[in-house]
Parts: sequence; C-alpha cells; structure tokens
Amino acid sequence: MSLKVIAKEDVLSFLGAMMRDWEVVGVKKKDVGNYANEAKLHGRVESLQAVKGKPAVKYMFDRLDNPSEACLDYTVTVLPPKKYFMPPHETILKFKDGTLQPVFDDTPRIIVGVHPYDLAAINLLDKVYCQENPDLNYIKRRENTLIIGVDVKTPSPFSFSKSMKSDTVMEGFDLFFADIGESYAVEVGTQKGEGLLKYGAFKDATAQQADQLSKAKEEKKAQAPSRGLKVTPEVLAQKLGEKREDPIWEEKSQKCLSCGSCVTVCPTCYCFDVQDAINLKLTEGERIRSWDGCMLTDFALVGTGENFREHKVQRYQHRFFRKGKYIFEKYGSLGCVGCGRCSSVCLPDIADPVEVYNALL
Amino acid sequence: MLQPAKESLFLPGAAEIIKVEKLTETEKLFEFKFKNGQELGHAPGQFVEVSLFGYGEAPISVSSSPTKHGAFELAVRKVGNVTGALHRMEAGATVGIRGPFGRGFPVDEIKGKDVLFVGGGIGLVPLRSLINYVLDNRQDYGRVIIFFGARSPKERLFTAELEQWKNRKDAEFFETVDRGDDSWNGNVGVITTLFPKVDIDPKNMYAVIVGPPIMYRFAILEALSKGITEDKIIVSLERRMKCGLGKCGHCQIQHLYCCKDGPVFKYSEIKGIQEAI
Repeated sequence: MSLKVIAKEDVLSFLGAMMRDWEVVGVKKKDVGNYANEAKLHGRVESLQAVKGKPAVKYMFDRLDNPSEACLDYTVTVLPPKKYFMPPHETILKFKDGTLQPVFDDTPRIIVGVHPYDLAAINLLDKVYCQENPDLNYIKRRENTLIIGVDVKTPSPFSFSKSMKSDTVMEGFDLFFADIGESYAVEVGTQKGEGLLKYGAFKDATAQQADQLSKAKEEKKAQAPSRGLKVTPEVLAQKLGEKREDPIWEEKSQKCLSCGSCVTVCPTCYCFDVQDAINLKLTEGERIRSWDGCMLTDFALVGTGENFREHKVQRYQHRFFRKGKYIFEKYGSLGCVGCGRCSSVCLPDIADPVEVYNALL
Repeated sequence: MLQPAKESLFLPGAAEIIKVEKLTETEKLFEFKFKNGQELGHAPGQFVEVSLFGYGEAPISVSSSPTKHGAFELAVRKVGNVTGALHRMEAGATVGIRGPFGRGFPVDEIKGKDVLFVGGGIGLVPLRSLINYVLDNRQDYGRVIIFFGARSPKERLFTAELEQWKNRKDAEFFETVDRGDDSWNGNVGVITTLFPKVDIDPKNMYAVIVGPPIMYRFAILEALSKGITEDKIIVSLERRMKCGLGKCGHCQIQHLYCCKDGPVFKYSEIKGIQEAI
C-alpha cells in the first residue's frame, strides 16, 4: 500500500474525528506534580531521592477524553498496551442460579501511539493466545481493536529494543506513524487501517517525503544503541541452557523482594490466575482471570502444600530462562522485547535483562 | 494469524455426582455423569478441571479407566477451597467439568510388555485408571506386577479393589505401609522395600511410577537398578494446572507444560531437569 502523510497540525482533528465513532486509547502524560506532592505529603522525600536517575515523568495508556491528551512522543508507558487484550482482571464467566454465561469484551477500540517493541510483544501474545487452544476472550478483543503504531523518537534510558530486534516491526499495526519533521509518514498495515484514513487529512506521500522516511530509517539503523545485549536473540536462547549453574543466579536473587513488579509491567508476560467472586447471597458470581507472575512466592504452590519453586533463586532463574530460552524455543521469538520496564521498576535493581544476560554470555 | 474459536475455553460441561464413597478420612471417590449423556472420552492418566462456582477450579486426575463406560470417577483429597467444597457435596449435585487434558499413559507403547505399577499414597488415584485399563485388556499385556505403599493402614485407598487385585491369578500384588498398627499384618517399610521381592526381565518391562515427589527419587533408582531403562520408566507429575491449556504458566517445569506435555512423562524426558523431580 502506498505511503501516506499527515501534517502534525492535523493529527488532533484526526484523533477527534475517530473519537466520535470509536473508543480511542492513547498515551497520556501522568501528572508529575501530583506524584511529587503526594510523596511530600507522605513525608517520603527519601523515596523520591531513591528514584533519582529513574524517569520522573510517567506515561500511561488510557482512554482519551480529549485528543490533546495524546502523546506521540514519549519514552515508555508504565504498563504496556497488553492490558487492552488481556486486562489485569477480566470476567470470563458469569454464573447465576446454576446457569453459565461466557463473557467477552468486543468493544470497538483504537489504540494510538504503540511503540514497535510493544507491537513486537503483541505479535508474541497473538501466537500464544490465537494459535494452539485459541482463546476467545483474547481474540475478540484483538479483532475489535485497531492499533496505530508510532516510531520511538525519544527512547527510554532503559530501552534495549534494538538488540532484541524489536525496534522496528513489519506487522502488528493497522497504521504506523513516523516523525519526518513537519509531518508524520504513515504506513498502512491493514485494510482496517486504510479504513481509518477517512478520519484525517491524509495525503499520498511525495517522493521527497518517502525519501525522508527511508533516510530516517537508515539513520535509526546506523545509530549505536546506548545499551544492549552482547549477543543476538538466537545465540542467547542457544547458550543460556549452559549457564544454569552460574553464581549470578544466587547472588542476584538474594536481593529479590518477590514483589512481582518486573512481571507486572512486562509486555510479554502472559501468565494468569483464575478465581471466583460470588455475591453475599451466594446466588450469583463471576469467574475472573487475573494477571499472575512466576516471581511471586506461591506461583507454583499446589494444594497439598508442595511449592515446586519455593526458593527465590528458582523463581528468579525461571523468569530469565522463560524470557530468554523457553519462549524462544516455543514461539520463535524471545519473551523479551527490550522495553526496559522491568529494569525501571525493580527496587533492588536486579531485574535488568541486559545486565544479567551480558554477565552470563 | 487468528484461528477461529467457537466458544470460551473456560466453559465447563455440567456433570452430576451420581455416587460418593468415603475412601479414607481425607479422600472421597466421586462418580460423575455428564448431563448431556456424553462420555468423558479420556485416556488413562489424563486429568480434568473440576469447577465449583463460587469456589473455583481444581485439576484432578481421572481415576477410572476409559473401559468403564457411562460415568467416570475422581478420587479427591480434601486440601483446599474447591476440594473442601466438593467433599461437602452429595449425590445429585451438579459440578462443572473441563477436559480431559494432558498426555496420558502410553497404553499402546506398553502393549505386549510386562508392566510394573508402583503407586505411593494418593499416586494410586491416577495409576488406578491405567491398572484397570490394563486388567480390562489383560490379553494385550504381559506380566502385571502392582506395588502399593501407604503411610499407614488407615490411609490405604480403594481397599476393596486392592483385595481384588491381590486375589487375581493373572497379577502379582504387593503392598506395604510406612508405619503399621494393631490391625496390620502385612509388610512394613517404604515402598522401595518391595522391589527385592520380584525378579523381572528388564528388557521387556515398563515401570509406571506415581507418587509424592519424594518417592520418585528413590523408586526411580530402584527401577533403574532392576535394569529397566530410562525410556521405560514412566511417571506422572503433580503441578498446579490452572488452565489445562498450556497458557497460565503455573504448571511449567522449565520448558515443559505439565498440563499439556504431561502430566505423564518418561524418565528419559525429564531426567536432566532439576525442577522436575
């Protein structure tokens, strides 16, 4: 499909027009003032010091009430857009007096501003949830959601997506925006994406604009990343199996708080728990699927009391092996896209895949 | 990319409890029938998710052999929310059942071979589906040896059936308890003390071992020392199989999903895997 362009000043009206017909989710800047005030309010001046060096400005995917809230130039969001395909908590069944009703969310939705590494993560989730044992809850959301990707202009200091080969993606978006100065160059990925062009003042790209885009891509390719893995994803998956006995596992995992922050913010973590909630009269209730994580203490606990990953070091190693080896072997891509979210949230600072994998290889 | 899916993976079928039998202080045997008349259609060694609305789901291995038609049996130890609630239920009550899930015992591969069954405690529950399958197709199998070990006489499961197995001319049955009591005249000692009681032809023998995690380490060593090769030692592993679909992650044993790749494994498949046994 041909390359389109939209002038930066026309983006607002494009978003506004879509918002009249669709639920539109975009990246919002979190009120940093409140964040600081709240910390002060609770006398947590020290804790603010503790996060020094970590980004103070936070971004989040949220439903837009006003098109001007949308950021297209941001570093990384706190949570990945995964939450629109597998929400932190989702009702999968309702039951009432012995009858059962499966529950699905098929709200038509557009997510604007998804970075390539998050697209790569969604492409992986698609393999997990749509291939073997296709999961209708995921599929309905996925089919009814359009994704407008945007290239990263200001990378997060924690990002290493280039070395994970997820700083550019060829699929997984309906439209993809790239900043070429006065305008965005817009690649159309799907028919559905093409259908969105009617909402904005899109024009065919001129030869010069197409040239600008390829130049921008070339520059990005040539840019040396600030940090990254020493080896390719393929080599990592191959070699990791030999490193099970390395002392780094014990050393790092000793500091782990088993808080699960690293797996909660991860765009590729897809483990879940299922629990029932019932009303006080015990007549009706819901079966709810919630995010779960292998770094939490009771993740592998069974009814008889046996915990098959009782020790921190077992859970810590499992996470890195799952990301760096098991998922690669099963799905052909790593369970890490290099977004750096886990490194940015880990309090004892032991979650960074770059540090751990590079120390091992 | 997107595969068609017709219905929710989490929608269970309605099954009625048609019989409840107390096995021990903590275990009960439940017999179920699908309300729509369908068969479970399981293979020995597979499991189902038992669904009690308001409580949740629990993975339970099927204890009956598929040669038993019209109904299926689950033997359940009372350990948690769901199993506790199930223990309070009586015949006539309805539960949800998803499944069967997982890879069962290799019934065709062991055809024509001698089989040594080693069941420890509650491990007899899944093993019973295979024992009865083999006994119901007795002509297809060679020698049948059954070892059963319980912690105490009170914790022996399926006592009437143990008696029947013991009396069969075409099976050799040995059992022991870890600690005896006044009522007990049989063997006392852990299950590995039964191994010296039989002479086997390891070339033609499969050992199927199911028991608590600690038992595997010792029983597998005994089977190996009998000369049975690693690919002929078969185990069934317990994990928290929450979804049964290879997704939720709880049952993962390194790269393996216990709910899909197992719960039945050959020792040769899991030998090098620290987490497995």
